[in-house]
Amino acid sequence: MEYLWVIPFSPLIAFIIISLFGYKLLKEPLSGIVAVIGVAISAVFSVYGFYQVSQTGDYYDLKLFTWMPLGDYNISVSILWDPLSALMTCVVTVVSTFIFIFATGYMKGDPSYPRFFAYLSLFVFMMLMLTLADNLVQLFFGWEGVGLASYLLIGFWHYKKSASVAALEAFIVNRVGDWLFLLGVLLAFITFGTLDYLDIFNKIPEVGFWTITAIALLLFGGAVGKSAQIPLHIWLPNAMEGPTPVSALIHAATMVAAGVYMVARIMPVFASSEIALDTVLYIGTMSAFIAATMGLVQNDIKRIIAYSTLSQLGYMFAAEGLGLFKDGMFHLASHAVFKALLFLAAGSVLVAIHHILDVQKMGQLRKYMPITAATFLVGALALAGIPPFSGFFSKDPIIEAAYEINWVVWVLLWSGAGLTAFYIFRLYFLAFENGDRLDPHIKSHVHESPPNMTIPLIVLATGAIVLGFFREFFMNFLRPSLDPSQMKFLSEETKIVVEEGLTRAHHVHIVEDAWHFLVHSLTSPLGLLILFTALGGIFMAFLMYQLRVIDPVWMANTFRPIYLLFYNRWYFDHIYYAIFAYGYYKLSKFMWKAGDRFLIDGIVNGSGKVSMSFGDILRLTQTGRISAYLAQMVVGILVFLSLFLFLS
Amino acid sequence: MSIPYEYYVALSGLLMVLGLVGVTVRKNIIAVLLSTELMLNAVNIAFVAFDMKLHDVAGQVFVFFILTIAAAEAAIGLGLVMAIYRLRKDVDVEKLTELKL
Repeated sequence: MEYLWVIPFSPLIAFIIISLFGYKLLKEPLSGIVAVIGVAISAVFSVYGFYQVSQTGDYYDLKLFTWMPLGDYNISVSILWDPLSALMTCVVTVVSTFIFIFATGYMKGDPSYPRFFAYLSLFVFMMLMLTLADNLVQLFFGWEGVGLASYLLIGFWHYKKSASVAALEAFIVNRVGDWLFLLGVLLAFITFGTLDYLDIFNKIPEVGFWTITAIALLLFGGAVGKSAQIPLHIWLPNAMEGPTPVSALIHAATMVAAGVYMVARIMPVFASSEIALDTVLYIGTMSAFIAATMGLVQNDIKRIIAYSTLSQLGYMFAAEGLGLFKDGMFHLASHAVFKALLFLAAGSVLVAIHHILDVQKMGQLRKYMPITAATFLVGALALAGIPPFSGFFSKDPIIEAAYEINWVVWVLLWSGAGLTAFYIFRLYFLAFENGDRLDPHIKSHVHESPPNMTIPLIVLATGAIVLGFFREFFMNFLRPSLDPSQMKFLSEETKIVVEEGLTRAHHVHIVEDAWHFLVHSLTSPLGLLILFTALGGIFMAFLMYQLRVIDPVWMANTFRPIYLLFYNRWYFDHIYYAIFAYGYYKLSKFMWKAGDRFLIDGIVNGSGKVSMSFGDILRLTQTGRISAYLAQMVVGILVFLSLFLFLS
Repeated sequence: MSIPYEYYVALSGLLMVLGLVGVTVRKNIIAVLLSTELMLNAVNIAFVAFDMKLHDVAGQVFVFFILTIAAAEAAIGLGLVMAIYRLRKDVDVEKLTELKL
């Protein structure tokens, strides 16, 4: 399995080549091609590795080299290749490849074209360091690295003030989570004396409940920041200031899923603490519901999709909190495909209509861009959870399982599903169907995007259609990584602890085979209820935005308080602004007055003044008269002589 | 028979104080120079007195050196006084305050 080292380092080499020769030598098409080749190589290798590991179900822990020795423990750069990391790596590299190809078309003519692909390659390298890590430090390295790449790419158009502000916001909000994560890593090191996952897992039974809970909660704090869950979600919608391929790759398909992946990766730690699992469950459920309500009333095409990302990540966390780690990871994979598809389709629209983001100013785009419209529809159906698209096979099991475990969670997830279907089809009808609101000047230019943009759309749309049918394969594939009874790297004692933690999901039996699941949910009342909720959401959107039977403005006025609550995103930004931005401003002002003006200036000026007044006193002794100096000298001699005489 | 050495020491101290007072009080540079000579000689007397008490010649040797240096010093001092007088037509110590800014 030694060839696996190629996977992370091929994008790194592409990054180095592009950043060294990008502007002078490679220029516009070539630097994009180098980036695509770099990530395509790692995609090929990871798919091959995926195939190998699916044959054996084994795990491979390759230590590439020692990064830094830390007492008895060596932090190494390594590759842990098991079904879980193989799945995540494949999602990252394969989705990246298509987004890179799309980006070669999307970024056409941008003066910073090579810089864009350098950053993208750096991002993929960092993301792969994160997914392939076998210890928490390397994970954290990748974790921070993707944060950096995300910052650079959100602020890619740095001359736009909104973009640079959004980049800073993303970076700072992430820092809050990363701070908790780092504390978690430190606590884990103090507790276990090692940071390798496999060693940590085997030491879990020796550690007390509260210590494990604290470690799990601190690490989850990092995941909340990175995966933009409530209450640290505010950065993700604003991160849409970056170029659309960035939104698709980083802020939808891969980086934001890193939190979900991390929780699954150290599943035994979370599973051994009831409190930690509950926290994951409730944070995820709340995000799934609240983000869906925020998405209902937004008008920015990319922000609507961003809120759906928040909401879907909430579903993944909810699945993990319910103890259904395999379903969470499967939803991650299928979400990565259809969400990348939705974003890229939105990007294709934006290129055609010259970056007008307001959906109220679009309309009837299907006539001009049939491929984009069709692929967007596929993505929307997948997101809404309509069979036979992949979202149905990955999201419905989570909702159905929630029904059997916790009814509060079920109600929120179920209503969230209805809202999801509504807002994504609101977007679809407003943008691609309905009335003709396009600017006539723009309308004369609108045309379908070139093949290097439509082919990735078609490939991803195919993925969104067929991926769901591989549900059983993925469930079985993930079993050696996420099913405690089959995890080869766990000791017997740890297996018992983990099994105990996951008992909440033991009575849930979701059919794994896709066909049987389809038949089952089309016949059982619960399955039909969920399906009709999604269809109802679509139908509502159809009535309101296509047929205009119900006037949206009338709706907004009738339910004004709710509308305002959703429109202002539950006032999260306002509250944070009041507490943190304004509070920090007030604190700074106070510190400036009390600390800087009074204390620091007081000390500095005061020492000057004291020296001056002492000098004024001392200068009286300098008369210029020899006799006075002599008298002083005599006094001095007398003083020292008498000291000498009486003290010795 | 012989005078006890305390008397010499007392005389020496008296001369020293006289010299000091002279140096501090007098305004004429020449008088100040004379007073320093007085202080040097006070030291000489003390040296000789202790020499007599301790039966050691080293003190007397010192006295010779001091006498020689005092002569040289007096010559240089008077030369400086001449120079100052030529420069300023005045030898008042109170008015020599160039050291003070």
